[in-house]
Amino acid sequence: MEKAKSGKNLLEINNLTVSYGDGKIITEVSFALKPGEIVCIAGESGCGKSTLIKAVLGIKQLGAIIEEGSIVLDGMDITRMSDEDRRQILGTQIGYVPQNTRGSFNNIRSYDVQYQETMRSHGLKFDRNEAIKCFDRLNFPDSDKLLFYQPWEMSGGMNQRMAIAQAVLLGPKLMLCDEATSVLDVTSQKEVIEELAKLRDELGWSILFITHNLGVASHIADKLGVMYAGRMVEYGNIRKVLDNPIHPYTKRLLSAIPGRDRKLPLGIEGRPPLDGAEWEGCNFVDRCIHGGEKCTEKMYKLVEVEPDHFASCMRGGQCNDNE
Amino acid sequence: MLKYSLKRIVKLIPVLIAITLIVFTLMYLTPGDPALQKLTSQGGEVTPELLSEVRHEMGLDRPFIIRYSSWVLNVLQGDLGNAYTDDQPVVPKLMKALGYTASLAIACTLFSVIIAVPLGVYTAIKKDSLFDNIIRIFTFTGNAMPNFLIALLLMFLFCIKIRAFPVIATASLKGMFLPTLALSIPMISRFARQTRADVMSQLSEEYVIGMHARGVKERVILFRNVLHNSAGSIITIVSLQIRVLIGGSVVTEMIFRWPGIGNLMMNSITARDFPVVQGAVLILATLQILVNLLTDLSYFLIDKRISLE
Amino acid sequence: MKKEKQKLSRTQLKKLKMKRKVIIWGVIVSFVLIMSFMAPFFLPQDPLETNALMMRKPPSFEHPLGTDNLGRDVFSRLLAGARTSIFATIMLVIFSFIVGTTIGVVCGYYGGFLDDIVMRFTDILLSVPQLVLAIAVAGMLGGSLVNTLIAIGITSWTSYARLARSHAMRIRQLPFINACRLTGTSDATIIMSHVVPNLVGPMLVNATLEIGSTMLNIAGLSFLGLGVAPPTPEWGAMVSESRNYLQLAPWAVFSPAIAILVTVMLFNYFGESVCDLTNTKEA
Repeated sequence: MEKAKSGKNLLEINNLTVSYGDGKIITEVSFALKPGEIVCIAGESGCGKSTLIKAVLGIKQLGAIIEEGSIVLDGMDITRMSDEDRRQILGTQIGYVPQNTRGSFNNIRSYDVQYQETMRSHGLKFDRNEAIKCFDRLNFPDSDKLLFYQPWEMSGGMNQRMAIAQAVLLGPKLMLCDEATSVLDVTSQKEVIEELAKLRDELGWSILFITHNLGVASHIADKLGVMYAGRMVEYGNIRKVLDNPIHPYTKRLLSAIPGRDRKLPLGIEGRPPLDGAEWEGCNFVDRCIHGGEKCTEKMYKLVEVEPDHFASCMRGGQCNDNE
Repeated sequence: MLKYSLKRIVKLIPVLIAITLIVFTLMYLTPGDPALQKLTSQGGEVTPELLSEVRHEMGLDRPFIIRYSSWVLNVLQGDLGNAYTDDQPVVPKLMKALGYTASLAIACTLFSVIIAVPLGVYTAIKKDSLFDNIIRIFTFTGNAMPNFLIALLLMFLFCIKIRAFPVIATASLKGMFLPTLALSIPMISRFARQTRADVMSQLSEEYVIGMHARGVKERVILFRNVLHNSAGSIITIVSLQIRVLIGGSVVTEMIFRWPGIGNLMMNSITARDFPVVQGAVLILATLQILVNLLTDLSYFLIDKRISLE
Repeated sequence: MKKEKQKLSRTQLKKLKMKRKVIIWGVIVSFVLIMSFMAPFFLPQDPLETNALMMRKPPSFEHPLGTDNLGRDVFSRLLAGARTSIFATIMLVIFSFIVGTTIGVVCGYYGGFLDDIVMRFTDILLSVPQLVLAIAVAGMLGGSLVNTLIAIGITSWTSYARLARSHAMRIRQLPFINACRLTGTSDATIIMSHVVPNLVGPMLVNATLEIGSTMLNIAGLSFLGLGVAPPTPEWGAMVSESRNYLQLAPWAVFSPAIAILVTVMLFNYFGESVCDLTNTKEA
């Protein structure tokens, strides 16, 4: 429980390398979250963005093993904690909304008992009126009856919102959202996103938001990180990254958003290497239109290209992307 | 809940009718003349006049459907006819024996569940540990054991070698111990295996991770949630095994001479006293149906989704 | 690339291991089947020959499992009884399999009124304690091996019928069946050449899993004296005949009982290994 030097950041991820027992899944990822900040991590499936969340949660059943680096939460190193210490900070200091809308609550028991169990596990009192007040604040319909429903009776979006309400009652400073809106329809998606943004403003939550939807990211995030095959390839202020992408992968990812100009998005040829996290040099080289020998020889490094904007392209983004 | 229960109870009516039909047909198709059997089992000389008189008295000269309906009417009034051997009503005999069988079945079910469920949960958490492997060997063997082997083994050990119990079970709590144990061993094996499998599949559900991520205590996750969700299939296996248990109780009661329905039934088969056999089947089947009903109703308490079916 | 190779080999290894298990248990089970069939030709002693001088003798060189109450050699009776006990079981499983699958396929494929009636009937049979009904039937028909098999057979086909029905209902809805119908293929042809071949695999797996419990049921009935008539050797009946002398000749009681236990375990191991293998195939 050593106090880290920079007390300013709520969450610091330093040189994090994670595996599931054999090959590395993410390598040397570093970034930080300030209080009240929303950071989005984007990338295609398999790039390691969910693994990042699993590493922060650190639940042993998830199987993510931190090989190197550290995770510091509010000045406290939580990289290696006993299970019981970990349990005490989960929920009260770190909140979590999973992708699966049935992934927070037991489907066939009422919210009431499940809220109660959660609060009591942390030695907190559960007050139904307080919960109802919280539902009202979040504009939930039927707030007074809601507790006595069971999750299977509810829509997916409502389940996600109930998970968020549970977090409001527990009062963590950091929320982890793992594709929390990906399976929702557009209306529910909007509700959940707006709720999170509102809570950030009102409660000062910091949110680490994992998504493959850059549209969602651009809507709420302050910062954007782009991951590719286990590496962070670009990171920085969301406006800067979106307006001036450096890494060829980011560029392609942005072009992969279907536009209104009736043009098909530019796809990316090939698939990411499965052991990309093990590569020392650039691991995008096989799919990069500029890639060459040089890129695999140099060591991977995230370079500051302008204030608050980092990218790992070996060519420093000094190439033209005009085919 | 009320609607669901009523629906279940209404569904039982055709089952009950079918069972009476099966039981009655069984009797009807039995080779041999019941009147003759009745007279011979009571002893004395059988003359053709006496035979036809008894046949008429028993209604044997009437068509099937009339005999069936009058039998059912009698059954509804709690009259299952008289035994051939002593010409006494069957019902009191069966009721007396039913008490013994029911107490054995209840004791065995409770005992098995109390032992097997914690065992199943523990082996699921400690999957592939030494303890799990040892228990697996035990449950595999227990599952394959004929009822009489366990009963005779227990009798050999406790009654003959150690002499802790008399060979003939007295109708007391002490006398109940060995029959209960004998019936429980295969049950424990099956329940423990089922519980282990269910708990393991529940533990891989995503909500378990969700609860860990909220810092819910492991104990609460396991006993209030995982076990709650597995309870449905545990109850299913228990109710399915009660069928087997009722069957197995015939063997066990006979070995330990426990005065239950199974024992009565076997003695009556030997004496060819078929009204008693008929009554025993009817009562055991009804008992089974009641268990099924209770099972269906308890599903509702575990998972309310069932009422939507 | 490295990782992909590792993963592939791991699942392959697991599958290989399971296949090996099935083969090993299959060989053991076939060995037991062949042995039990051949055994009556290689009996060390006459299983029916009584000997007043050799009553209830403990195991010795001459009588490896001792003698029973009538001085008969338990080992020879055990070998002679294997055929009856095991083949009665197999016959019953095959019979239930054929009857149950046929009924289930027809019900599942055609559906409708017939299906309703038959399924209600299986519901009812399933809600009666199986062994109790079997005991009553066998008891009233009079004890004999055939009557015992009939008594158990009355209920045992139901589980096959239900399983076959659910498979047939699933297969009926597959697009290629519709295509067959549109081209004018007759129902009988569709059932025989498309439905049955697609469900026979899982049905056989279920049948191998049922062998053990079927054997236990037969053993239970013959223990109650409702099986073969003495002096024919049969395992359940042997236990029944000797159990009054449990104190004096435990070997005569426990040898056949343990033979049943071991055989049931073998069949269960075999059934489970087959089941595991087919489950991984689907996954």
